Amino acid sequence: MAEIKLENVSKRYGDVAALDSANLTIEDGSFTSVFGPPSSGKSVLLRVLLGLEPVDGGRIAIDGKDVTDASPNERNLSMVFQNLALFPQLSAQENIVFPLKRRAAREEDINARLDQVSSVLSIAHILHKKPAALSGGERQRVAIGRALIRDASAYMMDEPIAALDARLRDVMRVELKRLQIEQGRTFIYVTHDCEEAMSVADRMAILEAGRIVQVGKPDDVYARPATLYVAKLVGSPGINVLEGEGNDGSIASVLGLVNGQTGERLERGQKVHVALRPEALQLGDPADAKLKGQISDVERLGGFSVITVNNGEAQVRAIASGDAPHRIGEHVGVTVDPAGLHLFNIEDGARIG
Amino acid sequence: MSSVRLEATTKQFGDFKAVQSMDLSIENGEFVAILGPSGCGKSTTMNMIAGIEDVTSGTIRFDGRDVTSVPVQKRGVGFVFQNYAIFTHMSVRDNLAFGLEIQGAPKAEVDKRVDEMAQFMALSHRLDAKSSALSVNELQKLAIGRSAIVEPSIFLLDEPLSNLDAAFREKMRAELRGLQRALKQTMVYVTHDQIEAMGLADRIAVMNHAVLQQFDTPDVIYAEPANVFVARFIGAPSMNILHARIGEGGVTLGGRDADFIPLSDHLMSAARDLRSPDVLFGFRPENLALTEPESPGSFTAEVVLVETVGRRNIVHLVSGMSNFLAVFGRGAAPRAGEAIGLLVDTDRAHLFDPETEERLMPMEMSHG
Amino acid sequence: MTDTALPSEKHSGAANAPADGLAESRQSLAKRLILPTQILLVFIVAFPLIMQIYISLTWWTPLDGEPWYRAYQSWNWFDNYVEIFGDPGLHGAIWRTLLFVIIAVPIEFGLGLLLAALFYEGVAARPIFYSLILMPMMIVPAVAGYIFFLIFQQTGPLNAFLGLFWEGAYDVNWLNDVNRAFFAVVVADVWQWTPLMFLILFAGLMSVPQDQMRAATILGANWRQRFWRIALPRIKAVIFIALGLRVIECFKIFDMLFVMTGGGPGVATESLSLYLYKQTFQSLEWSYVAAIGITVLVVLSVITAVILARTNKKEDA
Repeated sequence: MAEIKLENVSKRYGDVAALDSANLTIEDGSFTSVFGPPSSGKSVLLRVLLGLEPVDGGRIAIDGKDVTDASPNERNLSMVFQNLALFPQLSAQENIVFPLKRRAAREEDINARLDQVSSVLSIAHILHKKPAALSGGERQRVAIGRALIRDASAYMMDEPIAALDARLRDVMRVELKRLQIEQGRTFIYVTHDCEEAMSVADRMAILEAGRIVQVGKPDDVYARPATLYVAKLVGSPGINVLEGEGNDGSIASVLGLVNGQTGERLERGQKVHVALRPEALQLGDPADAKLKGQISDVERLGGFSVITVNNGEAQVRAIASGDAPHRIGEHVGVTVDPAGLHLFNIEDGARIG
Repeated sequence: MSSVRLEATTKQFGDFKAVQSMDLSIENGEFVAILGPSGCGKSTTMNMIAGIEDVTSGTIRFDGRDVTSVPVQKRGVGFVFQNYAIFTHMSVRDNLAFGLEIQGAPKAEVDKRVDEMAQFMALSHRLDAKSSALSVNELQKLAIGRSAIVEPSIFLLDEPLSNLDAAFREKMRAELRGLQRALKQTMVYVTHDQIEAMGLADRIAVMNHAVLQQFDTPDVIYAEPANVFVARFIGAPSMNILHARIGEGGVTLGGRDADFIPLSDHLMSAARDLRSPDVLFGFRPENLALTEPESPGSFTAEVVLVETVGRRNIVHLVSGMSNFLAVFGRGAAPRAGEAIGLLVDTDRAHLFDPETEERLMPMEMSHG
Repeated sequence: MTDTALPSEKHSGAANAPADGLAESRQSLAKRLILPTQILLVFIVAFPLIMQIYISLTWWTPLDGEPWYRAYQSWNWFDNYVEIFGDPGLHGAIWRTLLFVIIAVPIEFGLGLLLAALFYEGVAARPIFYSLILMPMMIVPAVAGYIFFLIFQQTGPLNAFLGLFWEGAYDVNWLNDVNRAFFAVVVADVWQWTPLMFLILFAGLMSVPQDQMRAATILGANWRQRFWRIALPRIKAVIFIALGLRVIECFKIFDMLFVMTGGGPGVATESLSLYLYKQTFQSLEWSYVAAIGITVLVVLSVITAVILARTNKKEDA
């Protein structure tokens, strides 16, 4: 168990920087998710951490010890691969104990660890089966068991549940979270799915083109995204982004004047991106609102509806209840809850306030 | 544009029944989603409508006309594949023109209609691009345009959004819905993703184990699921369905009198014909409200785990022997280990027969 | 789903990390370690070629009683190459070989494609026919030559078979007539090498995405339209490879002719290889043969390079 530190880690492939001075500290016993769109460098980060590829610059330390040039074996990290990589000819049990067998551990120790792991994952009843005879979720548990049976410094997972269907994903992510809380081990979880990244982890790191742009508690990342990029990436349905400008302490946009807490920091006429969470918008009588528009789309998704309002100039999406009586073509007014309003620099997208 | 009707349509592969006596009536211009887990027979159903797969028994009608034995080339359906199946060795123009050229349309007409379709799909500027150079967004439009240009009687779409990541899927969903409205086409859309089905379709046909479970509008399927399977499959997180026992004016969870939940007379009337007091009690995680423990009408549960997912908190709870979920807004975030009081919105709760797993219908009565 | 290594283009080469000397020195060590092997490889490939070029620039023949490396004693610069232009025997052999290639390869291609198309659409008892079709390819060419030598005999099975349709005995002497002998060797070559064409083209067809074929079907295309408009264009590269392979192989045809006709009657079926063989072992003009060999190599290389360049260009377009 250990703290893992990446300092200015860079990795290039030819001309492209897959990792660009990445800084990340993973605390001992934390569950950290690494989140970013495809090709943002998530998997490279894992490979570099595992020691599968050398870095082009920077330093990696595990528990204060510099492991930048250490081989994968010396780092003592455990890994669950996306494709699970189970041996088809071995039973679940043989698959799970394989890492220990290779390390020539004592038979009693192996059995003790196996008992512990299989009860934690509730897979004792399927240990005799071959991978082909297991369901997707069971195979997933076996793969996790194989990683957990080792007493590693940290446990890494590369999209471990991406291949499962939606229902099973929801179940497995909760199991992983519960497992980590019970065991108190360090988990590093790579995913391109925002909801997954937020739900499993107690800290999330967000990657943009090889750079880590924000690290924090999922709740804080959602509430205070550091850049426009993060704001757009996190949350579903996606955040609304409008153009606005400072107006003597409030913010002027197509929504009218809003007194955001950060409005007073803007100079008069300073242009900004105004980002609004869909749940911060309320639909009501056009007479009461500055932004009046027509509903161009209603998406009923069960527990909630996503309503798109268009006034010809701008388009925003708001969340309403699942049985909200809105119809396409209806004229509505949109009002804003200033708490759900974020401002970003027009040039570099950095957060204001 | 056509209506589609499946009458007792069955497909059998050897001993395996892929689709069992399916009756489905799709209206002209309607957008229908066939929804179900993998292996439920939804793709087979669509392949039978397209004519890619023969039916074992039963009839398929387009506009009342029996097309059961019409071969796929003559059936005149549009088909959008999961990977779009664009002819990557051809330009965008040649892809669009393919269907018309096959029909032997004169060159001038082909050119005219290709130009029109490209305009409609906002692909005009890409007409001479090699189709392998298109973005996913453009590929979807090209795949639809290529089928739409031959004016098919119906459009079939096989999970066209399943290869995309979540954020992009949202955008493409909106685009697809817009296209369907503009084309005014009958569309049948196969998917395993309930959000997609809810967001896109006029009506959803839910399938499981080769059998049609329910066919209705998204609102009805969500609010009045026909059985336990549909109730669990629609909505995320899933509906909580707990073992309960019918008591006087309500149910008790897991047999503990402490967890008595009073229900409305209306809902209680659903259990009128049950022979035993055992019942399945279903309510959605979002229909739970947080309250003080021990307050009237509430029941108590212990928080096991809280998942914070953007604007919502998914709270994992345990009460007696039952595990279940609640969904609260960002404001309400109880801590793990805490005991909380919960109120069920019993107007939106359901009772299911524990043997058949069918939903028990409350008696029709006038409210208020 | 898999997050591969390459980040988005907009961040190309934002290089602010210091260059890592260690990695660089590791790489150059690796390069030095494999250098001896590389040199050996070049030597193995190049030596016969260098030897041949050397001999082709002399009058050397084994009759001189001198070892080959002393060939410089009869150095003659390019006299052998000049002689190539004035050798009617060679010109005839080249012309006949070209004619052979032009006739045999297209037939093999056509038949191979037809078979591949039939197999692609599905035929009855496919595995049996599959092995049957591939059989000729596995027979040693000399043996195949012998088989056809027997078939085309005056008293052979072919005449016996044709005799069933004609009045009286059918007793054409196939291998003794200039045109008929040429026809016979073409038939033999087609018999033996159509399977290879089939194999390559069939493999190509199998790689055509099924979804695209189904999409074309749903758009109303019948199997001929699917084949011409979807399958064939998609296997263009495979077709080029198959044709290239056969043209080069066919150009070097030797063993089958040697057994069937020995190049006869006269020189009617004498291919380039057969001509070279005769020059080598009958006239013992080794230096002249070496010069022809080098010339053929250069010509074939140029043609191949041009074809490859064209193919690549088309792929990119």
